[in-house]
Amino acid sequence: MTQILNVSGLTFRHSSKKRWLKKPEVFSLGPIDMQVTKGETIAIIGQNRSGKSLLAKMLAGAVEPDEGHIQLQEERYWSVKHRVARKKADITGIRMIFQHNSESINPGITVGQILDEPLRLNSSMAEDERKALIGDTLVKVGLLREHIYFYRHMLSDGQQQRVSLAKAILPDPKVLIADEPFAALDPTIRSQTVNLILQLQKEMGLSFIFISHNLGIVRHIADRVIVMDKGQIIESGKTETIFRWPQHEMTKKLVMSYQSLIPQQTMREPD
Amino acid sequence: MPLLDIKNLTLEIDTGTQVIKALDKINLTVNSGEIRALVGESGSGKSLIVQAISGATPPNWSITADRMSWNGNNLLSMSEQKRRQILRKDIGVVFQHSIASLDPSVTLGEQLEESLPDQLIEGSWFWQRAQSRRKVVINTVHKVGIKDHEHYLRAYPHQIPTDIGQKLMLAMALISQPKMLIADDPTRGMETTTKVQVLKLLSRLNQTRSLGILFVSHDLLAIASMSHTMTVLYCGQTVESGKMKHIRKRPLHPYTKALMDSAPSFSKDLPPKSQLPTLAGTIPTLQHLPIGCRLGPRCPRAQRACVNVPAVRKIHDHSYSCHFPLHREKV
Repeated sequence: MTQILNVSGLTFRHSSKKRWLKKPEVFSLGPIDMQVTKGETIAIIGQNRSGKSLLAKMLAGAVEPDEGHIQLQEERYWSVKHRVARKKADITGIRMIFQHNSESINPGITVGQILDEPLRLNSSMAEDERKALIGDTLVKVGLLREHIYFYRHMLSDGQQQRVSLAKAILPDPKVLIADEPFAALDPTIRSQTVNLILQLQKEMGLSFIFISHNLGIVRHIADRVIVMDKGQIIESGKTETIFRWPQHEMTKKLVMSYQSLIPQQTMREPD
Repeated sequence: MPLLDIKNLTLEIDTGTQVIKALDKINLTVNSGEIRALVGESGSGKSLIVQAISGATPPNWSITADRMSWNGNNLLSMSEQKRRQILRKDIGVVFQHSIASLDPSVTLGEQLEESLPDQLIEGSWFWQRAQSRRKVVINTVHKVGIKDHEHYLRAYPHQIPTDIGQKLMLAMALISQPKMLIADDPTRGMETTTKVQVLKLLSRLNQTRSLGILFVSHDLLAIASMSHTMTVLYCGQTVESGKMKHIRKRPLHPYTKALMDSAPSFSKDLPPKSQLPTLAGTIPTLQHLPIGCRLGPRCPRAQRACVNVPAVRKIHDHSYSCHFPLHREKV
């Protein structure tokens, strides 16, 4: 159990300017501390507007935090006090799959070009090396090498999801972050994606942090669960512990509402 | 007598170069006081059925059906005006893309007041009527779980988050006190607590007012917790239909089984992190539908006979269409 990601004191503050007769809108996130070990799956759950997506974006580096630092394997990955320019190799350490995966794929260029870009900008690989890696990655996520010639509109939902996944795992990251990766998918395609991620985790030793509303899937694949409310982590722990013995009011509410949906062993008789 | 009775509904779309059979002989009934779930993945034609019932169809669609009746009146042969009256009075429809189907240039409060029929307003003078209208609107909005009505009734559709939009759509459908509600994916993308609220509201209305509900969704957990009967669609064909508890206990069609398996919450003894059973391949697009049983290329039990469309077979009130259903041995 090697620790791979160490987050401490991560804080974000947002306040819109006060205007005449308008209350200033204040939203603050954190301070957040979390540790991730290698190969671990962590689920972040919580209600809408609890800061889940913001936390994911801060971890991936898409949003700058106001305080705190993120440490990825001994190296300081992001810190406010020491504004170290991130080295090129660092950028590939944490990768993210965005919420609307089909909208995060550029419709104007081919899949090959989409996948080539992060490699070209962040690594010193030669062109044929890059091409070989892209082909291998596409096969890994269950597509064909020929898919580099495809545009977005030629792919189905499930295939688009696979391309997003390929885009994320291409530079061999240590940590993969996903914001609602399963929400927009159909049931059978969703199962395929879940299987794919489980299999990739086993092969590559990825740590996987994801946000989901689907507590069934959270329960199935997560090792640990983090519950957030109003920008704070209110509870975190092993999945089974959270689902069986929730402590905080909000967690209880979430788990209870999930349990009420699951049909119990004795089905209630209709009519 | 069933409220809504549809037999052999076929919907063809003329794309100019070819004619696509988007719905192929769909059977569907909704009785009064019944919650009927319509399950299927994207591209299965769930929303097309909703549109066909509501009559909001583009000119290049042609709808044919052996029977499509509302309360005994034939919907297909009646005049446009009569049909619109029925839709206005008796059927409430919640469309899929909530914010896109609201009027962007009018505030939400005005839109809600507009969809409130006159006979539900009390008072004879205009100020009394305005007051009563306002009161009904606020009550309905509270009922669907929007608390801050001051803010949201004054907002325009682009200013509200999606879940509020969905609830508002529901309020608009319910405000005219319909006999039947058609809800097209009303809980899509909602987080669990809100979803449970909405589902509870629907079941309560179903019990107290005996509201018939056609619940279109692919969220099996939500469906299993509230609906009485279920119809499963795949690529525009009815795959299986029957009582919820029968289907849950013993699905007969391979596709229904795959759908059930895709929700890990249903199978209690599934070890964590194990691979979920699923169907290979992806959902075919409307332009490239396979012939015969449309599940054919993805089905683990498919054989040569599957190039012909299987006939509908019945065991009591549980009907399915498959050549090699799960309760029979593999030949």
